[in-house]
Amino acid sequence: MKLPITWLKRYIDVPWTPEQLAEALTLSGTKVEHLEKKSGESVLELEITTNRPDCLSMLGLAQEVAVLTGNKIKFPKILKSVLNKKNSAVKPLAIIIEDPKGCPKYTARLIQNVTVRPSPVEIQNCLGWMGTRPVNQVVDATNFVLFETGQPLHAFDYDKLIGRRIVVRRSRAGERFLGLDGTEVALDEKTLVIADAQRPVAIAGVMGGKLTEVTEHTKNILLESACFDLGLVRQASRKYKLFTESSYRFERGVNPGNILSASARACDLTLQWDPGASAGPIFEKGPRKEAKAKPILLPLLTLEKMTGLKISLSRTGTILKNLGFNVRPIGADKILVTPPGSRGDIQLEADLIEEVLRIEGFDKVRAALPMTRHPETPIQDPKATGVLKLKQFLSDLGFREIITVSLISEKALVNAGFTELGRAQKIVNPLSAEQAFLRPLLLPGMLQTILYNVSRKADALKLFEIGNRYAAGVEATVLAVSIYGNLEDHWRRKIPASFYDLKGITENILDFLKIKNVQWHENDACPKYKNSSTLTMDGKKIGTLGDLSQPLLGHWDIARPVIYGELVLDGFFKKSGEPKIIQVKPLPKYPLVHRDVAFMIDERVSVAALETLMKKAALPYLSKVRLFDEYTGKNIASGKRSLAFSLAYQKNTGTFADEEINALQTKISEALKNTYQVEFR
Amino acid sequence: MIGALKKLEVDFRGELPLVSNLDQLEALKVKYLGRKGLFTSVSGRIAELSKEEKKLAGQAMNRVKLLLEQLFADRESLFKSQAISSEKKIDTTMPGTFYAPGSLHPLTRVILDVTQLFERLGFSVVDGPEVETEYHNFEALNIPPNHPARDGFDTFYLENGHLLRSQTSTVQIRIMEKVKPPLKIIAPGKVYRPDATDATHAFMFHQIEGLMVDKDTSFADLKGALLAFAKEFFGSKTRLRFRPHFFPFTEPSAEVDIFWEAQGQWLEILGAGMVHPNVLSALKIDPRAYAGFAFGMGVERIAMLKYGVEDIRQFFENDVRFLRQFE
Repeated sequence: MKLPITWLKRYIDVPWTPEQLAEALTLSGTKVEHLEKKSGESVLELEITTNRPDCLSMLGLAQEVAVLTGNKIKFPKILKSVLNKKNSAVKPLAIIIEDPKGCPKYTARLIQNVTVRPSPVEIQNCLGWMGTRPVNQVVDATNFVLFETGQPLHAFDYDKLIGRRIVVRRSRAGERFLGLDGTEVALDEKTLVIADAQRPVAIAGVMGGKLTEVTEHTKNILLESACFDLGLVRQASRKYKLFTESSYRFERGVNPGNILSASARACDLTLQWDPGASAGPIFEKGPRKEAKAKPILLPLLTLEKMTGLKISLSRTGTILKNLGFNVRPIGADKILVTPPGSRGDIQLEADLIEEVLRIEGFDKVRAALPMTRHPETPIQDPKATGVLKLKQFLSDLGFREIITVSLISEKALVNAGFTELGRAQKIVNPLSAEQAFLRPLLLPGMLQTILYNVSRKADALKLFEIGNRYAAGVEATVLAVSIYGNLEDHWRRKIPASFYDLKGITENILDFLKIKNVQWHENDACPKYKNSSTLTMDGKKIGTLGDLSQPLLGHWDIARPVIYGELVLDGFFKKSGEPKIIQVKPLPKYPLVHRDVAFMIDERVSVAALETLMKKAALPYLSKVRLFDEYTGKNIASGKRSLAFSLAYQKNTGTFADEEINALQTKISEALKNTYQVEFR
Repeated sequence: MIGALKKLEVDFRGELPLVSNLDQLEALKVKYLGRKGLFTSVSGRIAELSKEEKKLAGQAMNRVKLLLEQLFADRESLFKSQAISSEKKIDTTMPGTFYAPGSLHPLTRVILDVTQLFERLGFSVVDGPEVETEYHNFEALNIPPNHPARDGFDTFYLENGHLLRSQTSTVQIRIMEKVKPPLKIIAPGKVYRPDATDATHAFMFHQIEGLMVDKDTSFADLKGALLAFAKEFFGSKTRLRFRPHFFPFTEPSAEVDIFWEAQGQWLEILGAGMVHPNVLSALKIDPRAYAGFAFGMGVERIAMLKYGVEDIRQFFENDVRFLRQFE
């Protein structure tokens, strides 16, 4: 909304410079976005919030200036003769409202014998400041009054209306409408229109039609002043993409109390500028009197409690009166307040409190650190805090956090090996095909990030992202983690990343989260992973990690291996109930005894199975089994591998004798030999 | 003879500093203390002396021998230690081989800074879903259908009838459905709006929502909480300005600007207000008994201000040269 200061001064004295006015308006809630000086005129560009349609008019803004300056508003005077023209005996027009909910009130005023001509220069200037093109005195009068009062008006060429009737109804299938701006639209069956006996001549509250446009040949005018349902105007405006000064105001709500006075004002101006014209009768449909706003009781104590500020009864009353409210004291500490018709936004105590506070000034409230003065059970959301801690942990482990967008293209999904598109949610209204899906996995964003950085010469990346994914109707918070290139790369050590590095990090994470009951399952090669492992917890799959397959990386032009894992975090964060208290165990009295065992074995036998077997064979003394070497290649038959374990024996009752240890080693060797035909080295 | 011993000692002291390695030292030792060395030849003369003289000469011989042995030993250990150190000498200017550090995303840093401050003020960090219902995103927040108040909250819809939340205020509703006041929460998270992407707009961004509801909560508490945040986050000289504004879910509502010395102007950073009575009523919390404040801030916006980031897209490109700056 633009506010030309010269125009404002038609209604109120402004004792301030434009800059001072801008500051005062901004701090009282009418935000001035900028101050523009155009050919000697200062125009304020205002941001009017949707709850204040009254400020979409010069008089509404004058009210704001009135309460800020204490000055009185000079309302425009309207000739008595215009105001008093009521329905005459002649009935040249019938108004039929088929949808009274869509159009609670409709008035039409006849202005006769007009000679269409330009409006006065100062009026044309006013419209120019608002960015509206001057047309002729009839149209300019409607626009001028729209800006002055906030009530949209429309002038029809009376003689072009067929059948001398105005029907406010819903459009019918197949009807078309040609707007004043030249756009033609096919109407649906829901649009509220103004029609004559045969066809729509305006989309209600949005735009008038070309067929009944006022032209230089027009002699008689029918001036519409009405109000329409907010939602219907909004729907029509959006549906037909017609955004007008009129629809902008109607969808926010106009003051029905202005309908008649705005019509009279426009008529009055037309007559002033066109002495040959004469005011005709006015036709009305709808309630004569507007429903009065409900009075609201405001106890001073509530005001003080809500704002933390003491404001006197008289000061409170003055502020509200200067805003145009009707105020009546009830006792010494309450007031009964009735808002004016222009302030449909004021319905509750809280609304009044805001009015008083915004004028008194938010800066008057003294800041106080909030305390909770009542016993409180703090809310616990272990996940929200746990995720932040986990991010810190991963960063400490040398991983870099990334955040990628959650809306992704179909191509990205397919290239990341996600082929069951039916399990992913499609966005109904994406801005582009790039945002077609809500991500069901984090892999595409990770690969995109690796590609982005590799093409900018990054040679080693350790990345993670914690975010939500949405698959098969379930939203889950997941961790995606990847290693590309060398895990370590410096002059002493160059270690290419392997599956085991990511596995180790995953084990670190599980330790950090104190998760114990996780099982690892080896997977067969699949299109997505070359080698991979699936993690389960209580029988439920919680994640997969592995070496991404060459073909998959090929889709992303990533030449070197990527180790990737994705883990569902939701089950990991537990509410801490009773505190877990560590109970210290006594340290072992007798030292550990270490022995090694090394053998060749079929490469398909898993290390996990061997560990179990050895522990069982040397029960209960074998306390630790640690793999320290794996070897294949030279001197090892194909299909076999050489493994070396370090075994630690522990006894609680005394030190081992050599014979005892030898006996245990023999047991283990026997078990290995009997079960897997191993060859000792 | 005592004179000869004295001379031997003086000669030795003169020769010893000229020795520069273990081999030379060994040769010197042979010369003085060897079987046919100088000491032996001097001490051999003891037989020629009288009984009285023998006693004195014997003492002198012992003293000189011990002294020589001591000096040899010292020199020897010095050479040995030098030999060791030259063997193990390393180039300490070579780079250390520490593990390369990781980093938190700048948006996470902001979220951590903000949530940690509010945790100190007694707020609990909470989380809510991104896929939401029409009810939680709009109706419960006092935003009726077909209302222009929805203009600011354009929303992505899913084919299953749900939507992607367009503000974290949904968490207010989710929490108050479950927990009765008094409560103090802080809820960071992602939100989505179909805005065309440019340097200051992204269709996905982050917000942090704060909410406090208690019997005597007032606008003064809101100001106190936000002032504490602004001073801690932007520096102790930061000033705040509250401008009246409109949000459907708060009344009174305010937009909050900071005056940050580094920028020298008022900058809008967040929206706030007292929880709208309709919101409380819908959650069966009596607005006559309880009052609350709520605020919401855009994480990208304050991260851009604080770190001098000029393009919001940098947050989602994840260029490691950008991320590395937040180690």
